[in-house]
Amino acid sequence: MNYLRWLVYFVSEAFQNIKANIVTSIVTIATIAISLAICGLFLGIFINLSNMLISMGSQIQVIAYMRDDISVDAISNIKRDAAVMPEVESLEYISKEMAFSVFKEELKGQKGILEGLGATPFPASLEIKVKELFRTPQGIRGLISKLKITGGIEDVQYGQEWLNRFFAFIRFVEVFALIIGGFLILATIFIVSNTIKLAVYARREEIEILGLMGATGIFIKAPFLIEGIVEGFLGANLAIGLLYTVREVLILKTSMIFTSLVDLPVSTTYFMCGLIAGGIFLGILGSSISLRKSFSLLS
Amino acid sequence: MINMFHVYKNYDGISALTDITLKIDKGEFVFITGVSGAGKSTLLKLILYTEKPTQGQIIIGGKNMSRFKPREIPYFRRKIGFVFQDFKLLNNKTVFDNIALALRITGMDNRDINKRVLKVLSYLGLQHRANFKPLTLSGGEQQRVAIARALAKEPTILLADEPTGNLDPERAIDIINLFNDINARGTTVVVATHDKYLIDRFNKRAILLDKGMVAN
Repeated sequence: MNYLRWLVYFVSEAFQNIKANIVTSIVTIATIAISLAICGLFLGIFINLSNMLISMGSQIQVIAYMRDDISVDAISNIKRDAAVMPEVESLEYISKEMAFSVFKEELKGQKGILEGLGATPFPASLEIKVKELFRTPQGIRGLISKLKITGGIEDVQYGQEWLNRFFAFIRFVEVFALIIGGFLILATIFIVSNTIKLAVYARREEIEILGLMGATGIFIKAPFLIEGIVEGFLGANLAIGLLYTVREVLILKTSMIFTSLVDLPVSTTYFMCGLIAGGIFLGILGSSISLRKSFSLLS
Repeated sequence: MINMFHVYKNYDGISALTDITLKIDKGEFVFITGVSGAGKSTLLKLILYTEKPTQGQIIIGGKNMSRFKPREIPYFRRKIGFVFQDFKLLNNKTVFDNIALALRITGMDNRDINKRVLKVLSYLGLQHRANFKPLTLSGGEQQRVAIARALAKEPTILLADEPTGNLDPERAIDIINLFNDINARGTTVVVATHDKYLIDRFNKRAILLDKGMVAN
């Protein structure tokens, strides 16, 4: 019963405090909103870039060319073995004839070039799509060595140079996102905790009096923490509104190509929940840090 | 009730109290006196445990304060009422809420809080001021609100640091009379004051501090 009574008291104190210090509260809410909006914008761009890279990664394909003298049985053995390899997402067998007809199709209109070519000069091949988990230089090298063991494979092509550059770029994007993201989060916590510190500092006398009367630490801190939660929640909602506006402006004012590349995931529930959780976390963390500083100052 | 044994208190190497040994009995009324800077406020802060002694032992109500765990301090302070020269009231709350807060922190039921607050307000003649904010009251009334807040939790010890410092002589005598009355009901009262007139007028034990040492 005590806890419920106290909770009602803490919540009403928190709202009274917000009302009594409306300017500081608005500054705190705005700070949280802007910080979260910047983080959200960055996260949105990062998610878009990642999606783009993932879709590029799905085009990674390994082509295994078979020896000319290979028997039909050996081909079906290789197909069967390759299909159950953990790296393989899907595979397509291109026979010598199919390869030749594709080539002929591509050279339609220049049939003269093909004159004199008797039988098909192309080898049969397996076009293999690699599972996402194995779309790394190591994963692909592993697949190639397994393919070569099966016998009957003459050569394997997978665009090695492109692949290495692609993965170097992904690594760069990841490290860049980690550094900038970490920096943004730290800066946000710093700004928010300092803004809330102003609110705590304005009420240091109240904190001192409560302490002298025998209030426990949690009794003194709880209204501030609830205030942090409320301000964080409001700030996060404001940030969602800001991001939504930015997204709408982008869609309205830019070409479809740009929009499809940079689409902020504002409308997705998990993104909104994440921002709200982030806002509340920032509010609590900001309050806790500034309360700890103020308490050590008072004692 | 309050025992100090060879208590020292230094601030950054500067001595505020030196070798204080004293005893205040349960139900006693004691003045702590001395010029400004003699160490009166520091002595009260040690009793309220807002400061720790640099050296020495303080025993209050049979409890050695050096053995206090941090979580025990709030519960200890609830047994001590305090009154300061600057009243230390929350100016954004009404008189009623200022007094009620002292009880609310203990987890007391709202109904009991109401009863208790109305009782002390009527004891101090402040019923008609219950819904006023402190800054709309006179200095004497504000000090009575601070005393009401201290009394509401029915403390065993009442500490007052220059409680009459901001009041005219007539109101000052009223306040000390009030402390006398509170003391007569069994509460140990310790009043720090540099006002010699008050000490002479009320025939109570006075501990004189001089440069941080007990002089009498």
